[in-house]
Amino acid sequence: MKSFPVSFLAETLKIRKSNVFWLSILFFVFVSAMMGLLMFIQIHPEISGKFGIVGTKASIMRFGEPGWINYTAFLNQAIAAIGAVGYGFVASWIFGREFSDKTIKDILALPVSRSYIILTKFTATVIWCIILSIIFFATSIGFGRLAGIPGWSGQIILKFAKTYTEVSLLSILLCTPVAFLASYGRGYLLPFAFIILTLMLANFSGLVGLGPYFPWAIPGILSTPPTEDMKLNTASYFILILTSVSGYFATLAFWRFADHK
Amino acid sequence: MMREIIRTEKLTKHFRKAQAVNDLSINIREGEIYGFLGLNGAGKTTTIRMLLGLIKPTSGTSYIFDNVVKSGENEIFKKIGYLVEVPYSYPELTVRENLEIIRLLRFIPETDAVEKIIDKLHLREYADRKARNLSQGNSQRLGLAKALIHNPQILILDEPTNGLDPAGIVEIREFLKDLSKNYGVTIFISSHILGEISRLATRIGIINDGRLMQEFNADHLEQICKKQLKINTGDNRSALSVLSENGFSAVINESGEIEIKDGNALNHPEELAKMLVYAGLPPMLLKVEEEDLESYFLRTIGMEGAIK
Repeated sequence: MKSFPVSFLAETLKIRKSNVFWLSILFFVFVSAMMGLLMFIQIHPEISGKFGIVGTKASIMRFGEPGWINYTAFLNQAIAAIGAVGYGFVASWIFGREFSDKTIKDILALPVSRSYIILTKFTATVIWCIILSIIFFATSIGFGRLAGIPGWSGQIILKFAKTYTEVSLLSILLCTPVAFLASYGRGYLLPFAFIILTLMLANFSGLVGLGPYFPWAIPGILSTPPTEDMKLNTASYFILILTSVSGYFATLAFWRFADHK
Repeated sequence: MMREIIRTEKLTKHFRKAQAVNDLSINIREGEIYGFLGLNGAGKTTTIRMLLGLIKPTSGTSYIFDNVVKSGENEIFKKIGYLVEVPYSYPELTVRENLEIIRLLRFIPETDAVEKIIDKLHLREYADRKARNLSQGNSQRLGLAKALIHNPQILILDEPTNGLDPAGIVEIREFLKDLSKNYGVTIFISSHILGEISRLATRIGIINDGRLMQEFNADHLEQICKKQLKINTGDNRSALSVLSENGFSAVINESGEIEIKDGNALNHPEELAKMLVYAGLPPMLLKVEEEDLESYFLRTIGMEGAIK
């Protein structure tokens, strides 16, 4: 038997049996339902009063005329934001749980090398995040249809799917530094603090015009139509990929060479 | 000569300024049960973690089957089963699922390996129970099951009987003895429970402040442990004079009893009894007190409570 398949099977067993996996799916479905609801209220402003705070919020948040063009643009921005948090959370959990549950010592002195353990953990992270992205994509469209958003067209959805995929993949690539911090911090606290920090810094870097060069701002910039001041360039993609690769190897080095007391 | 299975050469580990293990050199031969004794913080767990490649030594080397232990050398771990400190398992997975994960990661092709070890460790009743709902004793059994699932040639166990009830302790002890005697499994077992080690180990090493203080075969324990004769009479001062007049070097201890370490007295206490009776000082207490492993251990590490 080869190291990768057995290690991958073990990792998927851990994930499938955890509540966190199913709760993450529920969370993404819930967010997409809220998106649909916001659009529904915008289409029917007369009912906003009945929805209390949600209705008020919906009437404050205007995304232009209710329609599939504006709705899909809104979804692209949403996946950039909840992807940063959600995908980061997935990476924190997959790596941090071994330290938090104190099971780390059980998987370090085995015939399967630590490099494979890391590789399968990252593979599982990517697959989990892709599942969440697909679910969010599908349910958002479903709820949009249910809400009766006008202007449905296959062309719009195709264009949306392309940008959505790019934004999701770039967000997923940024999981590796989070995995490193979950390992280095031996739990969840440090990566969660880091995720919040990156969200704040992404906004700040956008304000000072450095967004295209700050990795965690890049998916957000890609999700909005480019402007003269704020558009991505080759360096942006290079920085993001470099951050991702560095995160991967830093995690690998930590598992391989750090003292596991 | 039996083959050396586990060997350390001047193994040393410093954590910043703290010295956890210092110049530790031990050899463990095939089929031995090596009891590694030390107080909490003596360096037992650090040594075990270095033997498993979980911690890099500051200097020195560990060898298992003549292979240097390193984090990247995974082949040697096929032959080792281990349990380090308190065993933890994935809390939301059942006993069976936790064992299935280890079966996969240990490349065990037999799918019934999990069921066999469940039966061997008497975990059948709890096989479908989530690890988070297990008692401490059953968590310990699950930890041992993970260490034994692949029928290892070497077992490295850190406090394996923690949390087990007395019947469980006896059962695990007999189980380990059987593995060593009938299957040639080499066992390295650390503990601070001396009674347990004295009943189980074939060789004993005592570690204190990160240094190996003593190493001896368990069957030599009787020879190296101190013995003394304790006597109590109605008038110990007069009895002491009688004994001194007859050439025995005796003292009165803090409890007011007479203590004699003289070899002749230890071998023939009945002669002393006769002598004291004739002197009109019949002994009310006359016993040969033998140092046990606990007392020997305390004496070795220089702590109070040992036979002086």
